[in-house]
Amino acid sequence: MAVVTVIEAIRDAMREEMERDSSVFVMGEDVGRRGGVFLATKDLLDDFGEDRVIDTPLAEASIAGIAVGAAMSGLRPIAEIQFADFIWPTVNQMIGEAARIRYGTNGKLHVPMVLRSPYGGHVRGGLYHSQSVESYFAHTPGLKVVAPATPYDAKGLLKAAIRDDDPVIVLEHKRTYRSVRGQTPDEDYVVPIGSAEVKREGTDVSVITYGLTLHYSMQAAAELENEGVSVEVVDLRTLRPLDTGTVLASVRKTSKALVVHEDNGAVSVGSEVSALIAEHAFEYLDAPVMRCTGPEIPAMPFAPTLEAAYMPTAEKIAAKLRELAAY
Amino acid sequence: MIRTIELPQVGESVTEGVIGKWLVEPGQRVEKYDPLVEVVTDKVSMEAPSPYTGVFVRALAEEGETVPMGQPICEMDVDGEEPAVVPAEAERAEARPRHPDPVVPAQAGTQGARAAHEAGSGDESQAEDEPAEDAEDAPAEEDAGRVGGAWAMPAALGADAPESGQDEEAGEHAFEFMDSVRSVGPTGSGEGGEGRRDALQEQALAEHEHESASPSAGAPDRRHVVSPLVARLSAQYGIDLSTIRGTGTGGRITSKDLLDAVNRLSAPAQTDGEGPEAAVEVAPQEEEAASEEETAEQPLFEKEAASEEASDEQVVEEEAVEAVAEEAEEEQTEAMAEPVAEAIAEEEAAVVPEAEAEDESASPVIPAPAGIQGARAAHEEEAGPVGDLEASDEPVPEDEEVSPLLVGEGEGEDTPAEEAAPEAQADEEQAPAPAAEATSVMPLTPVRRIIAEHMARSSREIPAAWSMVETDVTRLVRAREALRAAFEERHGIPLTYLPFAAAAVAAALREHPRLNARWDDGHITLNNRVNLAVAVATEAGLMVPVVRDADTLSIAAIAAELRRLTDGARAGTLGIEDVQGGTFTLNNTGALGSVVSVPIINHPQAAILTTEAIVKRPVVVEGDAIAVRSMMNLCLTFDHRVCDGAEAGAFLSAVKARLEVIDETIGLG
Repeated sequence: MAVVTVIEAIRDAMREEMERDSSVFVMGEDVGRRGGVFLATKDLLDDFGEDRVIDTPLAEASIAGIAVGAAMSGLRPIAEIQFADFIWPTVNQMIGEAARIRYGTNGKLHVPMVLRSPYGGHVRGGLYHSQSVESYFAHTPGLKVVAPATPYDAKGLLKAAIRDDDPVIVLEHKRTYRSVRGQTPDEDYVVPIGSAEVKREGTDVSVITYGLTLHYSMQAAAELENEGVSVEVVDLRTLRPLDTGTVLASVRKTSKALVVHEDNGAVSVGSEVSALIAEHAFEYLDAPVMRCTGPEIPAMPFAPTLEAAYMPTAEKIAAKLRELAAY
Repeated sequence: MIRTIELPQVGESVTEGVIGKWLVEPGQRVEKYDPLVEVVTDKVSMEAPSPYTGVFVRALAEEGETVPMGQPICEMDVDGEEPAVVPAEAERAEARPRHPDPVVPAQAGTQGARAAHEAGSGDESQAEDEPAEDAEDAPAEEDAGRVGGAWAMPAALGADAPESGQDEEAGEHAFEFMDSVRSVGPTGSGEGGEGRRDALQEQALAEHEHESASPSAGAPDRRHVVSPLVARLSAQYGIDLSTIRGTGTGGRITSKDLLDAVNRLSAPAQTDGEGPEAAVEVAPQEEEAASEEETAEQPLFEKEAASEEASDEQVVEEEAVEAVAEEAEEEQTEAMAEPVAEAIAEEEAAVVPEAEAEDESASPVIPAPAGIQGARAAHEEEAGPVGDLEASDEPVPEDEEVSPLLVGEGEGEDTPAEEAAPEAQADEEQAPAPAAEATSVMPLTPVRRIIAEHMARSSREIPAAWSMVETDVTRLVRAREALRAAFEERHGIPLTYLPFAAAAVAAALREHPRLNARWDDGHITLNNRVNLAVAVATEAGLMVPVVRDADTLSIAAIAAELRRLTDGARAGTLGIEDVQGGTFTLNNTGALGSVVSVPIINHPQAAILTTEAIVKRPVVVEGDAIAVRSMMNLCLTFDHRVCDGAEAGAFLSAVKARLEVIDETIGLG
């Protein structure tokens, strides 16, 4: 068991998969000589050469398009979009093409590609380096979207994504990169796409979350424990397909649900989770499903005070939990 | 006054930096924005500017030291400010307790881990690449350098801290979050940043909390709010909600309140004289059922008690249903309970009255406030479908409706049991009908008897195989349209497709004699004549008259013979020679609209072929174009003792080929 940060886990996953499978290659802006702006691909150029670690022009539509084509031709590209904020030019390639190719060709072609991208805020990134983009892609049938929050999950899910025969978008919360450390096994493993995990067991209230807010939720849960409220924390890990079973089992157990994420709430992953609970655990609910999400404003503000006000912090989550526990 | 300057945030995701070269010396005058120190991170190298104008006092971090963002790195005597009464350092130390990591038990571990990590991160590449084990070894010497530093990390900088992380995590693989929301924010690079931030942050937080709290504050009376869970449980246990005092926000009755009431009812001895809350009324039906000793323990399962009054037959039936249901329920309960088994066990052990806790399976008592799980488990184990029979006014749908989503996790599997319940109900409601009225007898006609014997024998004796080909008869359809009028005029009978098919089959049989054969004990008998039996539906039943030597007849002759045989079969005027000696059967099931049939061989023949309905379908034709074509399926059942698939396939292809080349130029004879 090595203890690594999230960014190290991601790098390990790519390195191991590149060693395991020669059809895996990395491409993106500054992924080669620079090793990636977050150093996710550090040293990969030296170790695997220019053919497998490709610095691209600053053109996200092309990065995604080339990856789609390479994947259809039998390779397994890992395309990096430097910040999720720059992912929008890839939408036509990812949603318009990659998501539909298997369906549109009646299964003759498929797109085993990975699009990695750091997302999320609370890092003083301002409007253009803090966005949460998951709901746009999670909405699309044909795409898989994962958002790991720990080193173990990051490595296991990225490996699963690379081995998956369909396009997977791997969203890595940039604040977790160096702020979360954890164990990863020495031996090869994957975390199956589509499986959530109960990160903390509890009996009174369920928190369903993912990404950075998992950690804030864990802090809030620990705080509530001191107040005699037992909080269960479910880490979705995969946003599409959702692990409905784990979510519903938890809510049926506790009868109260708080959905937490950094992305704003309207038409979001949280909306889907809430609807899932309302549809399929209705008779188990002892309180309304509540949400603690980013506010309905266009972007993460830059000013530190406003950024803090934007984030669903441990304090805000704890406040909601208290309300729900007392309901 | 002396101010401390903190390591500024230098990039997204960056949590620490390495102090490079100090660019100023103690005592040196520094203008605001002058570079103070080089900072190296794994993302960027930069020169940190001075946020103040004043005199540099001293560095708090040494060159080469790794420092988290936000940590003090130096002190400056800032111009134009009164000397501080309280040194900045003390101020900071005082402020610290206000920002504890909420994960209190992990505090030391968290900090320690970070320290260990930092210690091991002497330079960029090391920070990135060294496994943690190395980091654990490193701190000793690195730590020494830190002693002179003034940053007030907790003393517990154990190098083994990473392993002592958050053991209580439910997830299999331990992880730790190394920063706290409250301690991270803007760097201290702005004037008076910290204090102002806290005030604003707290204000924002306060507003948020106010907003969060307002629903309950604004709606103090929630005594009449009934959650779905409470509604379900109250219906299930027959509890009158008006008798319960709610302890939730605004007096709402929580599920726990309800289960507490249930528990009091189920343990009357304990409720005696317990005050007003104990005066929950038992629903009338329950009292009716209160005759057995078990009543004391299970007063709430009136449904089960009531069922005992039912007739023996019903009981037997219900028990059967229940048995099935229980099996399924067990699975479900197990599946649901697994992840929380411990929690439930603990709760039950702690709260359930002893007598009840002893024997779950024998005692149907609702586990006392064993939490929702307990009540649900009790419901599932005890109430079962029998309960559902009576609880027709169940206010909420059964969770089995969820099953489509949950297939594979054991929850969907109980559906059959639940479905069985309504069936049982239906059976009970209908008075059993005497057998004579439920069915009536239809005596066999001789034809029916023969058909039955024939079919049964064929099915019993012949190992039949089946195949089908699609035939493009677009040209045949056109040809028939073109020729039919003249044909009718000349021959006085309509021109159908059947003679074309019969002619094609007869010719193909000549080429593939194994299909025109029969299995005899010890050998295969090949028929040298092609006598085509053609199935004809009559009122009396299926007749199979024979077109003799069909391979020698023109299409017109076949049409005429078919006409004669069909009319004769329906009129019952056929002679014995008309229905004997068939060597192969053709059945135009397409006349009935069928597009695929699996015919039974006309024993003792070797094969039977059906011509299916001609339908227009989009078809991929030459050049990968899609065209609307008239398509007909040919289905063949054959005796696999007599021939193999290769022979049968060749025969089918031959029939197909003959049909597909027919056009207006064909001679009908």
